[in-house]
Amino acid sequence: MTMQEILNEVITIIAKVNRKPKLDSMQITEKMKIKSLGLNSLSYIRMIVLIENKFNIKIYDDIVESNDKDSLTIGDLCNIISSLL
Amino acid sequence: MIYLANITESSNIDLWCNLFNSSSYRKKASMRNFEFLKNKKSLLGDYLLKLALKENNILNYEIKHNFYGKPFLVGSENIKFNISHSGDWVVCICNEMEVGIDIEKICDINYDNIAKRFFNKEEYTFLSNYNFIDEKLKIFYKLWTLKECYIKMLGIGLSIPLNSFSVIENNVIREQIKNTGSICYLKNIEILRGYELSVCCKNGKVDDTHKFVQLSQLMNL
Repeated sequence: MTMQEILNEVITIIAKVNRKPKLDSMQITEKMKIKSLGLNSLSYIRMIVLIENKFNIKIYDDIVESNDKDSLTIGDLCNIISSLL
Repeated sequence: MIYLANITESSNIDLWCNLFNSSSYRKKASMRNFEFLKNKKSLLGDYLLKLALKENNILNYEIKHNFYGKPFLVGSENIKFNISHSGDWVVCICNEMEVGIDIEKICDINYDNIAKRFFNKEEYTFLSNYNFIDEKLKIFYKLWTLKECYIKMLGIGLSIPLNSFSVIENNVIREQIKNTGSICYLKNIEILRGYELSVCCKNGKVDDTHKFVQLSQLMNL
């Protein structure tokens, strides 16, 4: 799976979690910080679960729980997904 | 005291502009032009806090955030607050002891996967005991807001694993959790239809008195 394909899937998931049309979410880029998406804790956890189910992976708890997740970018998240495939 | 306000109460742009123009410089800087109209909940949260503090005779205040992002008042350590918003509602609680509040609009989500992955085993079993989907969804949100308000009270974000503590004990929703010498009181409060709202207070029972605030009350604060 290419990074672009992973990014597209992540954007679709974020659109679902944020309840916004995918078109709006197309403004999301790899450089954007996850924090800037304005997700609350439940939305963030929903995003993690949807990603895990979509890619059939388990994201490490220390990534989910780390306070550093605020500095994570969408690109970082795609890299994490790619490393777990 | 819990303060509640609804963002759909007024679609009057002049009223929102007035609220925005009277808000703090910091808020203005973070919401340029009319962007604030997309972020009414954040603006309303600030105003509910301002009202709550005014009623506690605090007119001038400074807010800072701890390492995990929890806001606190500088110089008024005897007053704690917490804010939450979801759907159309914004809620703010002020208290003498450390406090956390969480409101969630009940939406049709795949709660089972979330509960299985992030709830404590006892909580997941409790949820599984319910038969009907609507009932399960409501219970999921009830448990989630109880867990979230506890985490928000602690002020350490998701750095505490969600499954490391349980809001269920002996198949009953707990009224308190002991945490390093403190007793944290939990309460789910049924005020708004279609929403779940829970509060957690440290070392003191939850004061669930509440006040619905009209937007017009927030002008000229």
